[in-house]
Amino acid sequence: MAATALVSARLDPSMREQATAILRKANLTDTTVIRRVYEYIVTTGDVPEFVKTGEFEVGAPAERDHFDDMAEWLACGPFADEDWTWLSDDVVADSKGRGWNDE
Amino acid sequence: MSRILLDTNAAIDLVFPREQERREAMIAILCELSEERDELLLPSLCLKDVSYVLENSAAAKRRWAERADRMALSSRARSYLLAHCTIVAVDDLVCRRAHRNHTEPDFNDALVAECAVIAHADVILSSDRRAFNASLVPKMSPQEFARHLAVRD
Repeated sequence: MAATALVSARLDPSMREQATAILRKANLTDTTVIRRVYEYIVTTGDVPEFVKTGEFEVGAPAERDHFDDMAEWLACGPFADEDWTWLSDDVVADSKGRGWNDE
Repeated sequence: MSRILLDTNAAIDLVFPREQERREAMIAILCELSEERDELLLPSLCLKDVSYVLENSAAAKRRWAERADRMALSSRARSYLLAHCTIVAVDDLVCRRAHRNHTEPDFNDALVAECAVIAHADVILSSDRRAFNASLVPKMSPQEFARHLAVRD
């Protein structure tokens, strides 16, 4: 089914900016979030509880450090979906002047 | 506190998910590391090697014909590594020690091995089966190091 229907919403610009940054880290877009909420509603025939009530639990944010960011980069960062098989160990060895004369 | 020295391939594996098994091992390692007690070390020559392979290797030129594209990719990888690793200098002492090191397959590996010693590294992270086997600093592959960290206190 073609995804041609358009949903628009007015949001506080600051909140939109913060949410977009968080979504980007999770490799998601606004469109994906909206589509998935709609899919949930259609599939389950229900509305997520926090959407109904506007209330949700806010736990203490998990402590993150730069190693978490690095793990996220490898898992779903900008290079995650590209094919890097060309960048093999042999290519690296050749670039360092090795490989061609290995015994 | 773990001071983990990366060789060129380990550094590339941190930036580019080249191989599924190593990617999973690297993610497992990163999930176990903590800023409070762990530090990634990268010899300056490895940063140079990463840049060189992305900018000038025949394989990179086949993948990206435009030099500007290769330079942009290299710059991005370098920025990432500089943001997350401490660069270890290949200085006079390292070069002189490497010159006397006859246990490594080549001078490049000897420089990395001696960088690890001078930087007080606890481990050399490397998938190179031929190098660092007699190094004063022990070598672990990403898979071995991930298993080691999984049982660390």
